[in-house]
Amino acid sequence: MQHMKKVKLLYRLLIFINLATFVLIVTQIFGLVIPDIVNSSQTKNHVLGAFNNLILTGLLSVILMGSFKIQQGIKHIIKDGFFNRISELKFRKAGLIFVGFALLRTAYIILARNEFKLNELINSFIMAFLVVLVGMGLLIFSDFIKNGGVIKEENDLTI
Amino acid sequence: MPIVVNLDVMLAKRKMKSKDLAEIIGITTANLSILKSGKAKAIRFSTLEAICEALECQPADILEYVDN
Repeated sequence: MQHMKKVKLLYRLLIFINLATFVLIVTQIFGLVIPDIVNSSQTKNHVLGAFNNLILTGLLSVILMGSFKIQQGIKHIIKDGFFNRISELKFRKAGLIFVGFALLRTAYIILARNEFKLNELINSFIMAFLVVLVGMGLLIFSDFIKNGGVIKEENDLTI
Repeated sequence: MPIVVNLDVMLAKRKMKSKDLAEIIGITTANLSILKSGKAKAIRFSTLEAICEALECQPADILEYVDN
């Protein structure tokens, strides 16, 4: 089926992106987070001190979690078809994680606002807003899957 | 559900097997079983028409409203 080809392509792309993000997180932990905590005296100019990179890596990990949930949801779409309960739950969780990430990111931007230039600050807020939109989109998509599942069940039980 | 499917009764009256009815009306035995067990959410007019034709009966002979 043509549409499943696109879904499979998206699934492979997500595996690649998630793997790349995982490698980035591991690199950040060993290249930035641990050295920052060990040499905490060098990071005093940051509002969050030695934990600045730890928090940023944590936020990246939250995004990875959300992205991984989407990957799992798509995997079940390929396996069980578009309307299945597992994909609905995975997309709902991914949506909540994305909204949560956007809120945490906004809190971080507000805390570290003095370290940003004005244009960077505005861009960061816009990015956080876009992530909220993506999260809300995933929640709505999850509802679509749920309603579709109900309609499919009714259709299957119409003799 | 207050709608009861009396297909079993009609099949017994006509001395017809479920498998034969399924074959005549062109549905699977699994779907006929869903209909007989009352698990079906709805029945198409075309299916009802085919059943009535095969069993030489009226829709009311197959479907009954029972007030709970």
